[in-house]
Amino acid sequence: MEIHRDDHPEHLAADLHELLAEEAGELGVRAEVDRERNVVALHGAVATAERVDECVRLVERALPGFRVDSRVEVVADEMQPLSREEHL
Amino acid sequence: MIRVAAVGDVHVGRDDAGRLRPHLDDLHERADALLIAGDLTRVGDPEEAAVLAEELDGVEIPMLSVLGNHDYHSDREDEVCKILEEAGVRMLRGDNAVLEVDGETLGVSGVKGFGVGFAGAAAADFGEPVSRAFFAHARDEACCLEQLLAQLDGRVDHRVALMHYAPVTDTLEGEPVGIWPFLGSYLLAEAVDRSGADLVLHGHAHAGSEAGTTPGGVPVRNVAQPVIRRPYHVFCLGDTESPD
Repeated sequence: MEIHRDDHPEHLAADLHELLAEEAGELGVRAEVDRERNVVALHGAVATAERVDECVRLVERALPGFRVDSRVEVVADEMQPLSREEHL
Repeated sequence: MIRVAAVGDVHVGRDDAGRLRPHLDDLHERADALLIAGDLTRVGDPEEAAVLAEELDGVEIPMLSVLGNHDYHSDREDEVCKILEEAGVRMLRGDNAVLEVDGETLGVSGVKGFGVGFAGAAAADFGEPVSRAFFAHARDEACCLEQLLAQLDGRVDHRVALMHYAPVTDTLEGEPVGIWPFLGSYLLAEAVDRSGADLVLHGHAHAGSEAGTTPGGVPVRNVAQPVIRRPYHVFCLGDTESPD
């Protein structure tokens, strides 16, 4: 999909969300666009560090000249080793 | 007592070999069955399913699963199911499964579900054909669940409703309210309350909350891996000597 870099930041954020869903299969990552500083902040959680890298690459390619500030959490890194039991 | 391990939204990709496997080695000591609440793959690619099948190879307890929305993305969900079935996962696509463990029976009713929203903020069977088709899919999934659970009533000791989409808003807390209609449906909770169940398990809401109940009082648990932050949770059904 095509990203129009001159669109309003809210539209850009929505279009980047769509881009990440379509091209990376990541529906849980949302973008915040700061045009004054040329920064895109990414929030959310993905399974692995490689998927964070892929999201960052896609945004960098779609918006050259913008810095990508990834605040995306990696589920695999934060996985507690033990399962938990609940008695019902 | 029957111990059910559950997880959803593992989102296995082509490059994920070895991510889940180490956590599953002792699963048979901790649980009697593994239930997976959909979104097995990243984009519904059969090669991703093959990676998951390898991860699950050697799991010694029965495995049951539903599909999630990601598993449909490549329009190859039948191939995904076939690969996992061959790996020993019973795929529930509007089906019941009954397991017996030490003389006790567990019935699992599995559907994907769908999202149309919740009381006060839901789609309806109204308007353009595409809008009505959207609602009809959610209604069909819920009707199927209601029938499946009713079929198990009186036939098993414990009934679990396994789905991908959320049946209540309790377990969506943490997600932006604006997307709740895409995350679940009141129709699913209605179905559970009409037919009865001991536990509802779902995934899909990665930023949601773990615990809730249907309006009729059935416990609901969101077992999406990004929410539980563990390989799986274990639910002990029929435990009369609960430590709690």
